[in-house]
Amino acid sequence: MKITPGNLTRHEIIGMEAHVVMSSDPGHVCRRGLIADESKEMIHISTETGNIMVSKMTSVFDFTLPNGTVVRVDGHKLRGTPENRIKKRQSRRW
Amino acid sequence: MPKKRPRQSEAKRLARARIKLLWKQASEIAKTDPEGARQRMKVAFKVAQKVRIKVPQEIKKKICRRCGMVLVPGENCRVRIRNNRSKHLTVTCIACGNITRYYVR
Ligand SMILES: [Zn+2]
Repeated sequence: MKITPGNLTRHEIIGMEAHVVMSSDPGHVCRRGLIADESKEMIHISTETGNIMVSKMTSVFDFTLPNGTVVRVDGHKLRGTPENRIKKRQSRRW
Repeated sequence: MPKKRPRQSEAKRLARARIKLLWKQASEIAKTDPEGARQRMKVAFKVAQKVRIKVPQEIKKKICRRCGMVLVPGENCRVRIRNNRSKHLTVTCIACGNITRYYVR
């Protein structure tokens, strides 16, 4: 199954390219890199200037899908462990 | 009204795609970043467990059952054909010393 904007929140985000658009930590804003790991509350991004851990709840991300489209996702929608996200249903409000 | 869950079959298809994706990444970085590869396969097994599907046999054989390392022959595992009692293949993980035997008919 391909990754689409519709199922991104239930699909795998490890290995995707991410860009932090907004964050409560000003040091993390505008940093981009590949996602190395994911836990319940945090996303580990390996950037050119070292690895950073960004909180999911207080950030907004831009993901670059494998086919090149860029999707902006509120980190709040990605809460939960990677294996728990697979069964979550998103109420569509955009 | 109770919230409807996505259909089970859809979750399973999604999970299979995720496992395939994780395995592709893990096998690519197995040599340069073994710890990262191990972490990815850990997530893959968790995903499989959640939706109650099996991780494909050919992927399982390339992972150490004790420490979860991605095995690369000649790099971090030893593969030998042995012939006592019956012909079999032994795969030894060099990191933890776990031995897995596969019988060859
Ligand atoms: Zn091992």
